Amino acid sequence: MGIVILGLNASTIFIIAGLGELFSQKSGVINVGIEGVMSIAGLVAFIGAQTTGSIWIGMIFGVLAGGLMGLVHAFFSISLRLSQILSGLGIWLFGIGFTSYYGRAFTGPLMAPSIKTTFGLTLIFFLGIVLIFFFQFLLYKTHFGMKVRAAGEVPSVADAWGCSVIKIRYLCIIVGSMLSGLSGAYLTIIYSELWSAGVIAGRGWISLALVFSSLWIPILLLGTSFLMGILWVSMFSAQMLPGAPTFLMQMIPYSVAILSMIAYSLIRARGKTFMPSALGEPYYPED
Amino acid sequence: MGLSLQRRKDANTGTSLIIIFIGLGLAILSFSIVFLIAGINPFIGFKEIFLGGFGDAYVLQQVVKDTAPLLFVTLAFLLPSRAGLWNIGAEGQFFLGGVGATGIALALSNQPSIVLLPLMALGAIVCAGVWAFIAAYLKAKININEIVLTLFLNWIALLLVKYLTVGGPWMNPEGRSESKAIPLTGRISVISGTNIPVTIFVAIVAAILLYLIFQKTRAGFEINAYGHNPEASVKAGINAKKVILISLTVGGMLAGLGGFHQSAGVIGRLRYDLTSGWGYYGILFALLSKNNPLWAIIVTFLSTGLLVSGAQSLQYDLGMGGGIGLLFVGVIIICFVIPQFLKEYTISWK
Amino acid sequence: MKEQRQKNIVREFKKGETAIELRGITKRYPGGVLANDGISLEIRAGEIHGILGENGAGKTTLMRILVGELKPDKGDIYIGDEKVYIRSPQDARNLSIGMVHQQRKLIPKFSTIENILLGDPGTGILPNIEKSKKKVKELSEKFDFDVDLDAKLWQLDAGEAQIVEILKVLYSGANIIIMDEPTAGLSPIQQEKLLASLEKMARESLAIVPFVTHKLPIVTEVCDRITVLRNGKVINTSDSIRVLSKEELADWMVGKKVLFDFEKPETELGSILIEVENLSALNDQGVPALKNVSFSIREGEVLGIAGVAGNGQDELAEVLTGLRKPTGGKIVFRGEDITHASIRKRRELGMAYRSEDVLERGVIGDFSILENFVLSSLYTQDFCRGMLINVECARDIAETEFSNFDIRAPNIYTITKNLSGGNLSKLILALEFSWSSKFLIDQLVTQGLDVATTEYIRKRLFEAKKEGKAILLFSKDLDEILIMSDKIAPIYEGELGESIPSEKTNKREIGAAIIGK
Repeated sequence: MGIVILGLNASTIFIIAGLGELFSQKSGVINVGIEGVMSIAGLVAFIGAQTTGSIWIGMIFGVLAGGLMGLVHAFFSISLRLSQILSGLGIWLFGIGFTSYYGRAFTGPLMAPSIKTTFGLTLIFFLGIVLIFFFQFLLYKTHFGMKVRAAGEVPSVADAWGCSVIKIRYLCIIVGSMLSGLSGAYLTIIYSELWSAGVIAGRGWISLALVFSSLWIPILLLGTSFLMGILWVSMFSAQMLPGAPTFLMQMIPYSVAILSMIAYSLIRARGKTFMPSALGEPYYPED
Repeated sequence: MGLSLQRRKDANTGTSLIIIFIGLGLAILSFSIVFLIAGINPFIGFKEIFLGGFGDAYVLQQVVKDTAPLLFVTLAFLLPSRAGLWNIGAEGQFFLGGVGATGIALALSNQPSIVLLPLMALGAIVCAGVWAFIAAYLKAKININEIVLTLFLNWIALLLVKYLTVGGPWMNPEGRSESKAIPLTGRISVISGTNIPVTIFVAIVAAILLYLIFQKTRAGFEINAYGHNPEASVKAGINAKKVILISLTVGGMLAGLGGFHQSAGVIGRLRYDLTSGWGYYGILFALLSKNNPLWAIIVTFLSTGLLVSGAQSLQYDLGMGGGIGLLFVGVIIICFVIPQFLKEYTISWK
Repeated sequence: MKEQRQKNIVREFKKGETAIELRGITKRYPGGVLANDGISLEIRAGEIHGILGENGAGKTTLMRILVGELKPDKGDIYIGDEKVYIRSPQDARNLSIGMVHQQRKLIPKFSTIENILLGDPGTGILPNIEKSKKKVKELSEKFDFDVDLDAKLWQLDAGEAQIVEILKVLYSGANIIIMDEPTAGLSPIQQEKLLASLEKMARESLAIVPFVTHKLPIVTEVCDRITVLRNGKVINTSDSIRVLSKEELADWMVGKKVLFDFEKPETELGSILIEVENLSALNDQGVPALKNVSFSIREGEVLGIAGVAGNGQDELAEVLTGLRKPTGGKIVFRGEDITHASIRKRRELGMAYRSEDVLERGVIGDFSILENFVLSSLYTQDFCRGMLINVECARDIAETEFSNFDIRAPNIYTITKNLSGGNLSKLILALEFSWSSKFLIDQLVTQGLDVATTEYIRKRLFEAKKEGKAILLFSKDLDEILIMSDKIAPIYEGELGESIPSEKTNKREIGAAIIGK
């Protein structure tokens, strides 16, 4: 039972970061640099919490940092019409560098009081669930959601009918990055309560993979995140057992992520496309 | 109303130069900011970077020595990039090269150098090649996203090395987190008078070969064409699967040779810090070389001097924190990515 | 310069009232071309007013001005009796002007109802889907449209997709409906339905303005008035309606008139070069696009396949060249069964293909002209042999074809994407004509090219014929295909009719066959 609670807490990271990326991708823009956004936001949040002693201030810092990185990515990919992949990779590598250097001074445990939990679950977890349902509703039942999806499918048509694709994409990217920032902040100051250079450990990339495997449907993302969360936690607990091959076990989450991507690609090979058609393609309104 | 972008009809060399200068300018500006925040005079900082890379014979030797593995990983990203593929997995393929080389060395430790070294190289190439082939095959067959896939394979590769060396089957009996030593017969010889393994020549030759392949062979033409326009290439008869498989797998093999160099030439054993991010430096260097293998030689050499060696001296001599090199890599990527839009657009203020 | 947003004018017009009036609309393009020259006309509510003109007469420009994509240099537009400025598509929408495009502007993954809602996304957060559905149903019934509201758009065919677009425009509140080639791509039954619905719409006092290129049933049977444009000017606005005879119905397939008479060379036909048996294939949506197609072509023979676009021609060319897998049947080329052979193998055996989508598949835009020549001959062993190639190896051929086709560009090292449209078409031709192929598949014979080039192409095709090549032509221009081909076969809904020697048939017969009669 304890495992389940821990798993749910772990899944919060994937839920929120994945949701942020999902929202951005629905509008047609992919950010492969989620890991970088989470690292930077995680560090900034940690610094904030460490220096002020307040978790909530740290969280706010993290969200803002995420939003800032989102603004950068949006500017590069939309206004400068740069390759979205290149921009994302740039943000990721910048994140590695930035957090390696500036994080050194803060390596170590968090000295701020932890937040309350209900049944062992934090408030952020419940927030994650609420957000999932909120976005599921927003994307499929509202006019705004329809515009977002239109921008991600055939932006020229959406634009011709009065949905400003540029505005929508900026909004979705920034909001999405704020969520990634929230997830990164949660990771460092609530979930792990420590900072080290590799603390994100690829969970940003895993969240990206989960978006694909959940076929861009928030409710499904909830499910895949739960599974990954429980897997992550089980793997760590199992390592405590004597004689357990720790490193081999640590490979499991990444391998599962790879398997989920293979599964997604196989589904797609059968002709069922769930991916937003314009994903990754720069939009040139002047054409 | 702000900046307005207009499509540019042609990009001449003038534009390319402007892009380079803007990138350089932004980089210098950003580095200066970093120096200032750390309380260091930017001029002193820049001087230190230069001296650290090219100041005297000793550091120069270090730079040349490090250019080898970095050139390998640069080429590892460059080759598939010409085909339009993103090989983020050079880091992991590098490790696998080290695994292959060390494995052969430990298994056949009683063989003479003449036999052992080529087999180790082969082992490195095969292991790294297989690692890259996983991604290549999945990409060719089901069009999986190679960025995410090669990335996850990096993590798994690192864990594999940790498994083998930290408390694992290849662990050094003296108990440190490293593998047993590679026997002397398995060590790559160095250029006399230096500590530079001769594999540096292999890297340079590989770069030149790659250039010639692109210029003069049909296979190279196919890769180029596919990278520019996959649909037109397929229509002309080019086999997409072949292009993907070959470019990614050979790219991986090149990274594997880097691992061979580092494990058998420099460190003398397998360790989990065989590379700490060099695979990612390779991405930057390849982008900076505009995907040209000849440029890659020069760019890698210069960048290694400045960003690897130079950064190290910032750490030791000026007391800046570790990781400064990575920070600069990250900054430079952003600085050079930004002005790329000028290739396609001109800006005006409206 | 801040321009004022056009105010919302919601107008309901009474039948016969002038809905929109153009006075002296003039537009000159930056290159100097005078596309619209003082065009004045008025459209009344409740009428179907067709605007007729050949390619280049100024129709597209006028259309784009009406929907706000272009601004006229001179002239005024009045809605009712108020002068208006249509500065953007949103302005046009605010003025109740709606446009139904020839290239559907719809989202394949959305359902019909979602696509229609996009026409008036509204500012509210919650769409009341039920209420909107009801409104759409009402519109549908009012005008006799029959379309499944919940189906995904990619499941619909061309006719149904057009209905969705019309509904979208109606839903957004338009009462002036501009239509771009409304009958293009529709089967005769779909056309009849469309015309009936348009008449219903007119009865509801909407103004319908179809822009068409040729005399089609829509123009002669359904329009109340017709305005003819030529060279940017209004030639005539007539009130008369002409009734189309059954024979003339087939004539609407006629394309541009052939300008020169050609002597088709008499050649001795050789052995059968390509033989196709019972070929079947699906299209991208999984619907059968080719149904048991069989034909054969001899050396030196030209087979022309006539048909309206969308009846399987693309799929046939793709299956022949290897870009698409067939679901059944056999292809034997030069004695070898190539049904499942690779594209490269087919090219090595001598199959050349000139397709319609130039920039996507025909050339690599970033490559120079010379490099594209190398690309097209990579496996044909003509001038770039073996593993080692030098881009220069194609230089002589490239230079020759460059001047033959009179490609207007600095030289063969020019980057291909910088070429103009016409030159790009010529280049594609040059690329596929320049190597010693045995079998040439040509999808786009002479559309959009000037006279001299058209002449040169025909000359080259006939030369190829004399050299013993087999040629497969696709065209919907019946005059052209009759002249060029030895035998003709009509294609309709994926089925290929019998091949008839061209001298034994005529335009009427073929025209009838390709529209399914």
